[in-house]
Amino acid sequence: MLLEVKDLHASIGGKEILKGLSLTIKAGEVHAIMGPNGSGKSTLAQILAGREGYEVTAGSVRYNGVNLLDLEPEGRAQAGLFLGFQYPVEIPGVNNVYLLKAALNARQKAAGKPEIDAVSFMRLVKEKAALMEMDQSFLSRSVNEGFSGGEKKRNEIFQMAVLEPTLAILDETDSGLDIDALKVVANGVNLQRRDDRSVLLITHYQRLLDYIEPDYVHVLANGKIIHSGDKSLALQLEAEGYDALMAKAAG
Amino acid sequence: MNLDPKNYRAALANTLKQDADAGHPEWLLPIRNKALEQFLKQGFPHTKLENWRYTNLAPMSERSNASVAQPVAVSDAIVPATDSDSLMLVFINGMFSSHKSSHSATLANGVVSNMAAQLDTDGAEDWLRNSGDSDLAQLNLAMTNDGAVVQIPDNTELAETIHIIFSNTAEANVFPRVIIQLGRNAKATVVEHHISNAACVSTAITNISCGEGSRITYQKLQEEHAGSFHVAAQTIKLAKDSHCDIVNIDLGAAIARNDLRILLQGSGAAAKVNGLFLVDAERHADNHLRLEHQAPHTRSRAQYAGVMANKGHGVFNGMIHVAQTAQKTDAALNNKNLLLTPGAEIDTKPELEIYADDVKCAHGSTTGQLDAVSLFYLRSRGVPQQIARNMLVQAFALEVVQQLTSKNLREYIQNSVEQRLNELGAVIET
Ligand SMILES: Nc1ncnc2c1ncn2[C@@H]1O[C@H](COP(=O)(O)OP(=O)(O)O)[C@@H](O)[C@H]1O
Ligand SMILES: [Mg+2]
Repeated sequence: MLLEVKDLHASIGGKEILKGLSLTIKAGEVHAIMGPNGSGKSTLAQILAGREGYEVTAGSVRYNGVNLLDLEPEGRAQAGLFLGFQYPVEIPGVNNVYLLKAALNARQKAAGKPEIDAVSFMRLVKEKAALMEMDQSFLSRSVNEGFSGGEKKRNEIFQMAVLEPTLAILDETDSGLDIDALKVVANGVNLQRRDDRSVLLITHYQRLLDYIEPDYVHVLANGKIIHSGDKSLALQLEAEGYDALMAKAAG
Repeated sequence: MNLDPKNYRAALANTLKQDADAGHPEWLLPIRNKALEQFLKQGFPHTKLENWRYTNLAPMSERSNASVAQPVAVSDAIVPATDSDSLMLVFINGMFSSHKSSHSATLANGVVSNMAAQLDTDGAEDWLRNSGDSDLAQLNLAMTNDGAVVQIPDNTELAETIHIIFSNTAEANVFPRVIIQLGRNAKATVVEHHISNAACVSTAITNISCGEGSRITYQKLQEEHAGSFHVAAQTIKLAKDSHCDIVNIDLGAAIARNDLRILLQGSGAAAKVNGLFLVDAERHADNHLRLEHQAPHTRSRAQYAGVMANKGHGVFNGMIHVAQTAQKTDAALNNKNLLLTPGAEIDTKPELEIYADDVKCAHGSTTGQLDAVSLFYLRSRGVPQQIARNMLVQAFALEVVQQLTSKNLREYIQNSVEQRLNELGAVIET
C-alpha cells in the first residue's frame, strides 16, 4: 500500500473541511478525485503535502509505511511525494533551475547519496524540458514569474519530471489550459506513468480524463468521498452532474 | 556628549604635520583648523535631534583617541573582486596605496587620481572646502588624509568603471573623501567600496556634481568589520537634464549611518536610487535619504529594501522635498522590509514635503515576514526550510544587488549576502 488515508477529519480556522475522508492508493495506480468547487479537493492535496494551518482532528495518513503527518513538507518531498499546485506560486528572484538543483540535492542528501554533478544535472533538466516542449529560456527564469496560466501548469509537470516522485498529486493541472496545452501536459504525465509511480489527479472536469486514463475515479463532496468507481464514473458524472450523485448519497 | 577636544586637537596636529611633510599647499592649514573648531563647537550629533533619534554616536566619540590612520604594510588588507579593466584606486587605512591600485595617473582626458596628488591643482581648495553640510562633514574636512578625485571633462565618456576601495586593517579613525565632477554630457561609473578586517571608525564624505546632460552611475558598498563605525554622507548635485543611477548597499559595521542627499537643481534632472541594508546580530544601520526637487520637470525613483534579523535594528528615513518652483515633479519613494526574527526591529519613515501644486508624488513603506505560500512551495519541492528561507531572502536582496553593473561585483556581493545568511541560519527559528 503506497498511500492509506483513513477517516481523515481536518479543519481550518475552526471550520471543518474534511469530514471523514478515506482513500487507498497502491503502487502504479492512477486515481482521479472529482468534485464540485469547495468540496475540499485542494485541502486534501495541501494537507498531504504538509501545508501549515490545517488542523487534523481525527484519522490517519500512512505513506510507504510511515505516518505522513509526522513529516515536514520537505521530508515528504524527499520521500517521493510531489504536489502540482492548483495555483503555482510566482517567486521572483528564485531561479527555476536553481530551485530544482536545491531540491534534487536535498533528496540525494536525505538518501545518503552524493550531490548530482553539474553536467548530469543540466543534461537531465534539458531532457525533461524538451519532453514538456518547454523553451530552454524558461529554465533560467524566476520560478513562475510572468508565466501564463498554461506555462505555470507545464512548469509544474516539468518539475515533476525532474524530481521523479513516487506519488504525484496534481491539483487541477488541467484548469485554465487550452486544448493544445492540455495535450502537452497530459502527454507529459502519461510518459511518466510507471509501475512504481502513482498519481492522484484532482480535477473538476471530466475532460482531463480523456487524455489521462485513471484506474479509479472518486467523487468528493462536502469533505467526504461519496462514490468510487472506474473511469466510467467520470462519464456518468459528465452526463448527470454532481447533483444527482450527491442527492443519491444523501438519500 | 562625552567629547574630549584634546584628542581631536592632537589628531589634527598629527594631520597637519603629515600635510607639511607631504608638501601640501598652505591654504590647507587654516581650513583644517577652522573646520575642527566648528566641529568641536557643535560636537557629535545626539539622539535628541530628530535626525539622530535612533542612532547614538556616543560610543564613536569615545573612540576618538584611537590613533588616526598611519601608513601600514598592505599585505593583509582585503581587496575585493573587481573587473579586470576597471580603474582601481585603493586606500589602506586612509592612505593611498599605489602598490594595490591599478591606476594612479591623470587620464589623457580628465582626472582619476588620489586626492593628495591633486591638492596643488587649480580648484582643489574649492572642491575640498565644499564638504556639504552633513553633521560630520567638518570633522572629515579637518582630518581627511586622502581619497579619490574624479573629474570627467565635457562630452567625455569613461568606458571603464572606477572602483574606489577603502580597505581598513587597523582599529583606527579614517576619514575617506571622494570628489566626483562630471562636465556637460560626461558619463562615468564609480564604485565606492568600504571594507575592513578590524574595528575601524570611518567618517566618509562624498560630493558629486553633475554637469548638464551628464550621467553618473554611483554604487556605494559598505561591508566594514562587525565592530566598526561607519558614518557616511553623500551629496549629489544634478544640473539640467543630468541623471544619476545610484546603488547603496549596506552590509557591515556595528553602527552604520548613511546620509544620501540628492539635489535636483536643473529641469529634466532625474535620480534613481536602489538601497539595501542587511542588519543582523546586534548591528544598527540607519539610512537617510533626501530627494530635493528644486527645479521643474524633475523625476526621482527611490526604493530601499531592509532585512533585519536577530537583534538587528534598521532605520530608514526618506524624504521627498519639492520646492515651490519645482512644478511637474514626478517622485516616488518606497521602503520595504523583512523582519526575519522576533527580536529584530525597523523604524521606517518615508516623508513628503511639497510646496508646489502640480506634482506627482508617492511614498510608502511595508514591513513583513517571508511569504508563507512561497516558503511552502519551495519546501514542497524538498528544499529544507532553512535553505528555502535563505533563497527567499536572497531573492529579496537580489532586486537591489542585480542593479550593480559589474558582473564580478554582483556575484561578489551576492556571495557576501549568502554568507551572512548562512551564518544567520543557525539562529533563525521559525
Ligand atoms: N484558509 C482558509 N480559511 C477558511 N476556509 C478555507 C480556507 N481555505 C479553504 N477554505 C474553505 O474550504 C473549503 C474547501 O476548499 P478547497 O479545498 O479549496 O476546495 P476545492 O479545491 O474542492 O475547490 C471551501 O469552502 C473553502 O472556502
Ligand atoms: Mg481546488
